Amino acid sequence: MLQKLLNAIVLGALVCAGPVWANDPPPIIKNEQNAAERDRVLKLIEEAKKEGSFHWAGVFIEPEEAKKIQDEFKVYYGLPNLKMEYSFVGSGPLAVQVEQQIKANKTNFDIVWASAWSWFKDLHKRGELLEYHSPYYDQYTLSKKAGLSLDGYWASDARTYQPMYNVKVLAQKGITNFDPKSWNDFLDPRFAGLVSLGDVNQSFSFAEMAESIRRTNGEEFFIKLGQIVKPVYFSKTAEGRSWVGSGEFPITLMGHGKNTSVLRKQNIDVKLVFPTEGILLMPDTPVILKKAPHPNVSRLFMDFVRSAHGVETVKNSGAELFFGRPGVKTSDPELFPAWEDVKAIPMDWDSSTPETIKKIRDLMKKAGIGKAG
Amino acid sequence: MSEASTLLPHASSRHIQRRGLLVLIYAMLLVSIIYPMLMILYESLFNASEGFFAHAGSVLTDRDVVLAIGNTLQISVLATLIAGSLGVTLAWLVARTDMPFAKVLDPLNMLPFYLSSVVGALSWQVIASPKIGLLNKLLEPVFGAGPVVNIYSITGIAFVLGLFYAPYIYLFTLESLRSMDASLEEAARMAGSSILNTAFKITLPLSAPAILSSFMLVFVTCAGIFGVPQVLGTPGHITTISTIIYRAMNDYPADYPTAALLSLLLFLFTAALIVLQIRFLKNKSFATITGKGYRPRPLKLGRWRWFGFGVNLFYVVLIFLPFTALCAVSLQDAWTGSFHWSRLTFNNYLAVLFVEDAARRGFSNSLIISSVGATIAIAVCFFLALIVQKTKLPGRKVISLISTLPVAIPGIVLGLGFLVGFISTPLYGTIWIIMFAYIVHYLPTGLSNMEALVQSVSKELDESARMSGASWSEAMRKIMFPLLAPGMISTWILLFVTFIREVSASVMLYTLGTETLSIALIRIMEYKPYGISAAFGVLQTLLLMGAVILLRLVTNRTSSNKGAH
Repeated sequence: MLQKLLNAIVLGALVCAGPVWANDPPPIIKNEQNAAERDRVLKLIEEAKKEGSFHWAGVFIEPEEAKKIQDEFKVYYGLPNLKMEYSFVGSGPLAVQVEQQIKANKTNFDIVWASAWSWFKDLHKRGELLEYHSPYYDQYTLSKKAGLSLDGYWASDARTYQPMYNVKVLAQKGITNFDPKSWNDFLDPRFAGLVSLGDVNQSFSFAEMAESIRRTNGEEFFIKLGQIVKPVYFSKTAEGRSWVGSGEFPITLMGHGKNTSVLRKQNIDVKLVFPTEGILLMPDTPVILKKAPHPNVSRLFMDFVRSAHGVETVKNSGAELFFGRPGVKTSDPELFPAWEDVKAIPMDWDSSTPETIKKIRDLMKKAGIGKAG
Repeated sequence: MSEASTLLPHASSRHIQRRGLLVLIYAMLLVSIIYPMLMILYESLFNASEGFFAHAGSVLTDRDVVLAIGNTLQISVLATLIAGSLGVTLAWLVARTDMPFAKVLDPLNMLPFYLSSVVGALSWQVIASPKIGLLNKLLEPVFGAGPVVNIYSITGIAFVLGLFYAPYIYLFTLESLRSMDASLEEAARMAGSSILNTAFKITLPLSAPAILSSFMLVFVTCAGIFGVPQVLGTPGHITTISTIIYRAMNDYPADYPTAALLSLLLFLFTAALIVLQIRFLKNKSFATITGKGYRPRPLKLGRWRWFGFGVNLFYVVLIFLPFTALCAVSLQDAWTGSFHWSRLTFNNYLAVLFVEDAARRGFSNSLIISSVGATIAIAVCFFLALIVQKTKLPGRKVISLISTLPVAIPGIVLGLGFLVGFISTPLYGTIWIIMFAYIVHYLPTGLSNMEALVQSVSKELDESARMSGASWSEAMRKIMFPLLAPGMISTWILLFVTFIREVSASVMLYTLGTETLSIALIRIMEYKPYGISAAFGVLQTLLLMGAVILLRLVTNRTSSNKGAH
């Protein structure tokens, strides 16, 4: 009864605020029960309208997925005229661009969303991130429990890189009895020239992933990989996905559930492997830059992508992750098991520094992986 | 009345204006050409933490750098040989023989000049990638598994570059052969020399300066090119100097001193070759036109004329066939190495136009940069051409010399210079810095065209207008511009097309949000190697083809007007 009364008061107040919402109030206002929070959001929306546009960049969410997320954000916050731009780019080039902009004192990004723990920690240390206490951060308990949140700056999802292969193309090459269980199963001379992996020089996450395999399987793994398999580098996992799909390089060591799902929707028979040594759950984190040109849209967008509705939107866009918010129902338990069911390779993210990344890059170079021909 | 006074509006203040004008021009050239190069020098000399010599030692002995230098040389030599054999053969067939349909094939031979070599690389990827290339798939039943052709190789990269740079050599050679005195060939033929013998012993040696000069130009361009080696070299682990400069700037943390050092090295190499080319041309004369009246007559190839036609047609097919394959890929929802009707879709085109922000931005940015940039470039070049050709201002030769310098600066090097030089200015992060770099990079092209145009207008016309009481601006408006307009429009379209397909300078200067067409294509190819990239490539090619058709219309109208007069 009390709840109904409160709702009626809220609706009455919204009607009185007629000039603000000529038609219907946006869903976020309709759904928000807390008056103080509603006021805060209303103020942000008004400021966001004045700002008028927003530019974000990410390394995992692809343009068509970003479009769906943006469309829903605009509807949910009643910002139909907001101009939103998205750039899909590898974490290395993204970091270079952001650093150049910081150097030029001319930031044109609002939010960057990447798996780049050491870089984000460095940005935080240098005061280049905007402090913002989104009310939704506290609901990201899985992230917090795993030590992947930084109060006032971010709360993370996680993603993985796992082996993925095209069953039909391998069969055409006479490889039919293939049921890999371990990373070492890929050290097979039959796979020479068929394997791809992410360019560790262009991405933090590829480098961190390689570092995790080094920890479980030793440096020898990469030395043998370079000698036996001679893999090629891709710049983005989507490129590796296309190669797996077309059969150009039918095996990738750095695929993931989303890419498997994308290829399966194109009627391509691909399998995703969960090696027994474990897989790396990498923090995938949106942060607001200190000099974001549109800080209020950024705050609203951060609220959105950390809220239950926003997370569902991200998931339904196709950009499925291991979400740091509990209670998100996975679309495919085979590809996206629950966070707690994944055998994760232990990783102390704070020990991931530019030096450790340089070491793994040097190791790959020593192993002849991605070497110039 | 002196020539200078016909140009400058107020004779009384001429002296002050002259000084002001010179200071302005020199300042403009110093800021846009000399300053960026000095910044590269400064970056490589003083910003390496371990000191210049230690840094240079470690970079230049690095295995990857040594390999990249070797690859660059191999690719440049091979590409020049391929472009040279194609360009010279086609020019000879079109200009000096009775090959059928020469008039139709002539403009088709020039087509790659206007198209994007990055799109060309993408198209050849579809045809000749080692595992799923259409050609390899086609030949698999005959030769068994394993690639017959591999576009991800030094030869593959050189082949694509050779195809796309053949028109440069073709154009130079064609002009030289067309102005040749045919009596020398006829004498050789009457003395019993075969067609090929005549070609190799008489025709080509007479055109040697033009041919060798164009060879040098292609070699220098290939040594500094970025797009094709990046697209085809990445999957094949082939690096060149330009791609490792790009990598040094794109891996985090960016390595400015290494990129600057390698840029300096590349610049010195290309500059040395350009100096050689100039010296070489200085000592040679294009003595193919004799003083007496002549009319070039084509050599009769007899039954070989259709063979010649086949050779030329094959070149045209090598340009068009991959593009057709690209169209096919653009209509597939997923590319699996062969075309399937069940996978037919137009969604890739919709994605390029409505979903991919980078593609949309690429189109709008490139159109703005190219149209505004070409207009500014024409104005600047016209102004400089007037100064150089129609005045006796002191130091005008130096202006001409400095303006020609960018011909020796590879695009990626100029781009780095602009980045380092202008990062702290409001230009950084805008499309205007890219436009600025394009104008500077193609200043020699624009200026040489404008100088030729300005030279073609007799100074008496201008002088008689001034003597009849017309003011300087009236003389310009009523005499110069109407005469020069068609040539200016052609140059504008040429620059527009060149700017649309430019990639080397932009790759250093773009930021996310200011991508050009070619940069957007390269970026999209990183995550959509087929389908959407193919659709994007097709749309870019259609845009360029539209511009080429416009160019042909303008030049045809100009020729017919000239004929009528």
